[in-house]
Amino acid sequence: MSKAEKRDDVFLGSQPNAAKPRGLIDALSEIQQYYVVERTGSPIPEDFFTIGGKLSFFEVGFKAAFLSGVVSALLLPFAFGVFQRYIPIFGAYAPSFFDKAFALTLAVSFSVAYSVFVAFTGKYYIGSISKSAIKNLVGGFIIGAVLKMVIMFILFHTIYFLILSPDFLSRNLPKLRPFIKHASLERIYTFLLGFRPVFLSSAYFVIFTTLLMIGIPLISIFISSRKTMEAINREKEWK
Amino acid sequence: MDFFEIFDPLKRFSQGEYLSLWRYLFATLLSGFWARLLASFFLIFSLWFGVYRRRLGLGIGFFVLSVFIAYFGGLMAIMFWWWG
Repeated sequence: MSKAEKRDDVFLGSQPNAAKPRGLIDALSEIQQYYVVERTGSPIPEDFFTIGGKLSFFEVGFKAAFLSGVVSALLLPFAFGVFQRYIPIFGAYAPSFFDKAFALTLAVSFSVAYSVFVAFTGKYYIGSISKSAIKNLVGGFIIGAVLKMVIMFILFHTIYFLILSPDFLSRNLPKLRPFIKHASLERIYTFLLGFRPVFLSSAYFVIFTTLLMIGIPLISIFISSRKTMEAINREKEWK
Repeated sequence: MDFFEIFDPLKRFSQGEYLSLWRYLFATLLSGFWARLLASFFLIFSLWFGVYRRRLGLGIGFFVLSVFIAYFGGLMAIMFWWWG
């Protein structure tokens, strides 16, 4: 084949689309790749990031916030139960300062760790595609966290006002009489009535942890993106 | 020996010995100083692997271990009380 013939060749192909991340690690890796391409100056067409791609980033953020938030929210009544001496921690009913701090850290750390993980994307918030991916990921994360907060708030209030109400307990606990001794049932009744206020405190603490969950990535993205832009501008000045 | 008997601990220990083994485990690993130390290490490992090294699976695994050590000791104390 001559050189002239080679020049006339026409290749038909389709423009590659953005990969759809399946989890948080995938999403973070994808964003890193967009960042590297955009930072080196290679243009990426706007259509590269399809609606399906945007939705998959949103979905990953939503699932991460919702699941991590639910785990944290379910551990909160245990932590407050430790504070009120209803739940034993490390086998003891009289918690030390360390035990209380540990119970609270354990309850909060899971969702905060996920927030910090999402916050890593802040440094890649520069080009249009990277920004779009991060906006969708963080958008899903915020919606997931808020939905979790609403569900847990309603659930904890339902437990307080309905499931652990004296009326409900006195109607339903005697049904366990064939399996549990009367004296034990009385102790369970007293324990549940005492433990009840823990759910109201937990419901309001869930709001605080949700604000923390949302605040960490937003503040981090704001600060780290400015730092990255400054670094890029400095590099341009040196060139 | 029947297949299921291989998994039956009461074929090797008496009930008293078996219970005292669990009580020993509870007293050493799930309560007091060692429980606090182990649970703290597991929580630190969980954050280290999960967030810093970005290995989510390992991070979640260590977190579950930390929760287990913190609260399972209390659950066992309740079970011992229940069994008398």
